[in-house]
Amino acid sequence: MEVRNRQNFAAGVFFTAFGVFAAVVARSYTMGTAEDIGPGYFPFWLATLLAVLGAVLTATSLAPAAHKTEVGHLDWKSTLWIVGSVVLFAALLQHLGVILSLAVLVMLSSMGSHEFTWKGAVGSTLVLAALVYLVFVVGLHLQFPTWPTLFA
Amino acid sequence: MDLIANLSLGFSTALSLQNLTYAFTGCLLGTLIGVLPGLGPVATIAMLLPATYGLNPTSALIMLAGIFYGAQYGGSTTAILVNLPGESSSVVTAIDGYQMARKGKAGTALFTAGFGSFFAGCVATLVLAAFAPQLAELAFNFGPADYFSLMVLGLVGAIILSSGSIIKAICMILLGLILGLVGTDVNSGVMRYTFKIPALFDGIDFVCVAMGLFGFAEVITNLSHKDKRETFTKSVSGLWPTWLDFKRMMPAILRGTTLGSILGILPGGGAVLSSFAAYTFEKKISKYSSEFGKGAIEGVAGPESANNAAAQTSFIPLLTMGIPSNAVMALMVGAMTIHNVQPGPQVMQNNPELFWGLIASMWVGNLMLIVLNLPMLGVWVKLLTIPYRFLYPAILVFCCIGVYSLNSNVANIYITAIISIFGYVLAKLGCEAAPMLLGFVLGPMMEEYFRRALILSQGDYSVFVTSPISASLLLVTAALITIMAFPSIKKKREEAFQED
Repeated sequence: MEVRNRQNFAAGVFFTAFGVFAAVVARSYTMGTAEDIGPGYFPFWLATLLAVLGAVLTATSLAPAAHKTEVGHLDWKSTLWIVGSVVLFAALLQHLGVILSLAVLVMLSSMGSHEFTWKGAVGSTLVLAALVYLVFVVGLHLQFPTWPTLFA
Repeated sequence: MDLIANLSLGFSTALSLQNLTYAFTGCLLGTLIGVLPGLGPVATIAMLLPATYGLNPTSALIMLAGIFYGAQYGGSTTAILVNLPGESSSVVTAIDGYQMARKGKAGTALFTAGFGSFFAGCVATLVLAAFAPQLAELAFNFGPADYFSLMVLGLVGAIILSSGSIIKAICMILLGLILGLVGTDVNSGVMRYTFKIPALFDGIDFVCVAMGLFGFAEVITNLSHKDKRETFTKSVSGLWPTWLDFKRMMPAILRGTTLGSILGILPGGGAVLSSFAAYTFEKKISKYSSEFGKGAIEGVAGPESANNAAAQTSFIPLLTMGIPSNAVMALMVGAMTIHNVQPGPQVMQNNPELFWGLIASMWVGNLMLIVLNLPMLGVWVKLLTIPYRFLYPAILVFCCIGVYSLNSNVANIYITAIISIFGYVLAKLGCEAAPMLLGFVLGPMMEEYFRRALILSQGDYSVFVTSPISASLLLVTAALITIMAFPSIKKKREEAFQED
């Protein structure tokens, strides 16, 4: 058997797995009765429908008449730079304050670009740090640590 | 004359110095992000939500709305000059607009887009003012079963709008609906899908979903392709069209406006759908149909008028029924909830200055936009030369701060990061994010109306077909599904979305 529509095949498998998982979890909540549906009712049926449709999607992707598609190249490198720098920002925020964490976020995420230059990244950092300081700290008084807690 | 009294209340609200400033800020930001490819209104509105906490709800909504319709203006500039839609509703404008620019008629194309948008915006404001009260009146007769069916119709509409396979769009909606149920169930107090993680007890904030899907995931996607841009920035001259151009664009603008106004009201409709529809329609009926794809002025005038008209009339279902018809409106629901305004028919009675002020501000905003766009074109064109490597770190910073400030919790940033990975992978599998966001917002509402409908009917499921309103809405839904399943229509739909 040949997987002709690889995009749909992968999506279908994901939806089925997610649906089955969500339906199983929903079984642990009360289903209730028709007059008074419980917390498990709605999620259970949505998840079941999702699992069924996911299965249909998977099945049709195997049909000989299915469109041929390939799953495009997943750019894990860019994903890692972006998500990694964002997660690091979140982890550092409480300790280093917004300005320094922002510098880490901007410098690291800039490295994900194939056009990275040190000069450009430092420039972005300075401009954004100034903007965030003026708009969010001075202008809108948003509540977050601005500087490392050691200095404050 | 209710309409006049209402509109004058609206204008007196919209023309206050404070609201004028926010409308202007919104339009300016909207044009900016519309011009910049890779940053759309959904991500921008999500990023700016925290900035509106301190404002009164009227000013906040005026600014956010300005971003949305401002983006429709800005998007066309990029489409015409760089052949890159700055905004998804300008995809079709790029076809003929860019060809006009290559023939040295960039100025005329830009004028057409700006003038068409302005005209459409004015008409749509009137449509909104005239029909919204009637629809709100109607909405008061809606019972829970009717609302449930209306949401089903809205979600099916969102499927038509999405470009990929129908079944994948339904799956994305279901995924969104399920994610929307995460958190403490309001009726039973049961924690659903929280897995003992405290950050999930109050549910996933929709801003996290919106930013994950339209902020971070978009950045990842954009980083992975290396696009080369060819810009016609130097050749912009001669904004004024010739008399012949004018004669050709006017009917197209009128048709585009009509089409856009109607499609915008429909649940699931919106700017993208209407610009596609207007383009296809113009191509069908035009005397110059052979010129389409080679720089036909109608191919710019029609879709540009349609997307702007639809951007504004898509506020109708939101303001009258409380139902968001597209991803931007879903964010508006969030914005209204943050400011303790419950979207729905009661907005007009409880907050008349918000309702009419918002409508009047759209007309004022359109006037500002035409001034912002045509004479200041040079400034926007300069912006196009900003490389993406400077743009995306800024997007990340504003997304992170926006998400964090929702409730000063870094856990929101982690949630957003996780959602973005899913969003990126699903996008690679040809699944669109917009239906998922819509499902996410509608999930809890649908469950609540479904539950209430069954309580009222004492567990009788037939209530969804015995109520005349609900029955007719479901009938329309069934008709839409049947039409979409027809092989010939299916093919047409695929063709329509292939033109980008």
